[in-house]
Amino acid sequence: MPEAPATPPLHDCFVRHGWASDAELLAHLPAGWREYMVLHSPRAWHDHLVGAGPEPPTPLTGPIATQPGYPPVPQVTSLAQLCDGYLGPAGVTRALLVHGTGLHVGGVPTVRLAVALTRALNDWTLERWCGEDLRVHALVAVCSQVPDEAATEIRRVGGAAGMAGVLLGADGVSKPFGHPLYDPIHRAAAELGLPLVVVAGGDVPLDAGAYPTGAGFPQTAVEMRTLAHQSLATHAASFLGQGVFARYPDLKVLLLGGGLGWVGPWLWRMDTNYRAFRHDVLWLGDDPPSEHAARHLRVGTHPFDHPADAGDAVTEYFALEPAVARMACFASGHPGAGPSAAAALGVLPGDWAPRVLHGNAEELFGWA
Amino acid sequence: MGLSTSRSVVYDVDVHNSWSSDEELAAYLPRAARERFATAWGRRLPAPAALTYSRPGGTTDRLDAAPPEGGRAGSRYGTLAAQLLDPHGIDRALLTFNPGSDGARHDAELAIDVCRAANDWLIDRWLDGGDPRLYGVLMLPTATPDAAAAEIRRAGGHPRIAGALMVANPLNRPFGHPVYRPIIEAVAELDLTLVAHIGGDLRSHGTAFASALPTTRADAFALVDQPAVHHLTSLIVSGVFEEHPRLRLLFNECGYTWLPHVFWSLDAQHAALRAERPRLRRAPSDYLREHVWLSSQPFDSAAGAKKVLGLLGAFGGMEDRLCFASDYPHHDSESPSQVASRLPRSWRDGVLAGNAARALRWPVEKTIVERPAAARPVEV
Repeated sequence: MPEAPATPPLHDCFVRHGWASDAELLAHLPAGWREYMVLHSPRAWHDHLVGAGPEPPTPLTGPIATQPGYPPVPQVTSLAQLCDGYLGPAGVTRALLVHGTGLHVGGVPTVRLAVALTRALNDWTLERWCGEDLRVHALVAVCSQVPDEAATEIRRVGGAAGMAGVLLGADGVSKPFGHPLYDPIHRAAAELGLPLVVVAGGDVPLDAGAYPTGAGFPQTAVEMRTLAHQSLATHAASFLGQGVFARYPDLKVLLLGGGLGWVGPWLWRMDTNYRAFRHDVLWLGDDPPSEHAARHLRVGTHPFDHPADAGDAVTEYFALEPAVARMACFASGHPGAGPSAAAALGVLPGDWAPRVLHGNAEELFGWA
Repeated sequence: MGLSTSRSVVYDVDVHNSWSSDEELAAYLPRAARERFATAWGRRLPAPAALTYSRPGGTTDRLDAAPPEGGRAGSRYGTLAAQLLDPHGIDRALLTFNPGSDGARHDAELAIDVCRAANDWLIDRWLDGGDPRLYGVLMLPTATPDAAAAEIRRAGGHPRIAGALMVANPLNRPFGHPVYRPIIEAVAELDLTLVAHIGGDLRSHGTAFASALPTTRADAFALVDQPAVHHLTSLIVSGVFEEHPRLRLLFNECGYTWLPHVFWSLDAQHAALRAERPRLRRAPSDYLREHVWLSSQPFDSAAGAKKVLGLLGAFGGMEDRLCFASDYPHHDSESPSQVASRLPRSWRDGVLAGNAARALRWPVEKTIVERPAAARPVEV
């Protein structure tokens, strides 16, 4: 049942969108790649589109093999479906489109194809989703395996109406996104005033010795979801550790898909270790990592999992670290199972609402 | 030490002892393995980039912990007793190697021999050495779980062996993975405690961090709990505590401030979890609160005791789960009084000794004793 429209603005930083049929996306590919994919691919050609990422089926979606087709992740597939089915009824005033299956495309190991596909994704997003409804905003998809070309793509479409940031989904080379390798991406985003958006689940390449969690591949989908914050923490720490924000003082990074709960204790760890290891990160200067994090990192609320009877305890928990209030952005993960604004507000400390529901996102994306 | 005539019993669950040189360990290897061990290849452990980050002073150890007669920190009983056991009134110390990841070496056959030698060395040099305060854990060749289980059955019956150490992860699989089941079964069969420790994953062939290697020591150390958190969720989710209702797990140096958000998430998904693991009858946090203990290390000093205790309080308290660990001889080691000073009074006995007693099947009735401050604790 749709919620009553909220009176104050409600900005949702995490909506998954995808194509209704492959033809939509293929139409934006150059003829040569279209022919390659349809006629000559050694694999089922739609595997290239879904990126065959490491995300396992979840109990919610069932095994991929039993799906009537792809995509395996829930996503909205048309602007009308988004506006009439979600934004209007839920009173959402801004929505950030974060790809569903498209998240993995930049990690396709056929790297020239990955570049062509990310270009097609962006043209498709601009054509089908942007410009018509001013509530709807999107992200520039890039092939991070080739940072220079990613930067070129950011400059090609980053200024288009409706483009609000740069999506770091698939991590093509298994380096954390703060690594200097990615400096061309950092620079292009900073030049255009676009935040970087890192999404858990899209960031582990198929052919690298890396897993989405610390001790090898998770055995259950529940652990995958519970531990999704670990990869976000790796990326976030690298932005601080590599001094990216010293080079680009206005750059911001939004971390999606790992929830909010990990942030407070992680800031405490960072600050504690900073006392011992500050010679590694002199560019942080006199401010502890948590202060840099509060200035530059933003974190989406999805997923927001806690037992129904733990509400007061969760409120108490979040109130311990006020820095998180400066970082938290409402993110539903729509149409997947995510928090409604009411559910998130029900347990976050009461005075956080204006920042979480719209204030932090307004600052981040310049949404007035 | 103060002038008080009474004090709490103190059990220390994480003391890192080392052989002073590779030659000292080699003496416990069979001849053929000794020759292999002496080669550069035989000595080699996987050394990924994660281990090349800077260290303050070039070492993880306290600079004053180097024994005067030479050798590695933690390698001489005299220095260890004089710096840790005697001045801090440690009644029992669990020796945990440093950190015991030799089972991860490239040569998996040699790893089996090295772990046997390490356990024989432990028993010979430390546990049978006459100090009744010392207990130990078995080092395991975790790449070969059947051999690890055989080693547990071979050496685990020694009265001073309190647990089996699962720390190296050369198979790049979380410890609840079925491949490790022989180890769990042997630990349960001998009624030992399964002991895990942060950092062993750094010797894994893959990465010990989610997604990618961190870029500096500063960020690596803020992320080094990632494998531990995953191992713990994996063990709980795997159902080993249903299969072995008396199994106990002690997790050392992986922190604990991550417990609330991780277990709230797992508990909230209990229904989905049961779809994946039907044997998991109870909520994940129920297993945590019945079967798992965590060491007091590391403490988030930057946050301060008030915030950290507030966090644990929001989670319903951890006074029956946290165990004092000195982490001697590491640079961030702590004394019992440091740890006790930031705990509520009602938590102190449990954290200093009572919880370790339950985790390791040590005597619990002596939690508070009166004795002259200068007297040595008497072995029961």
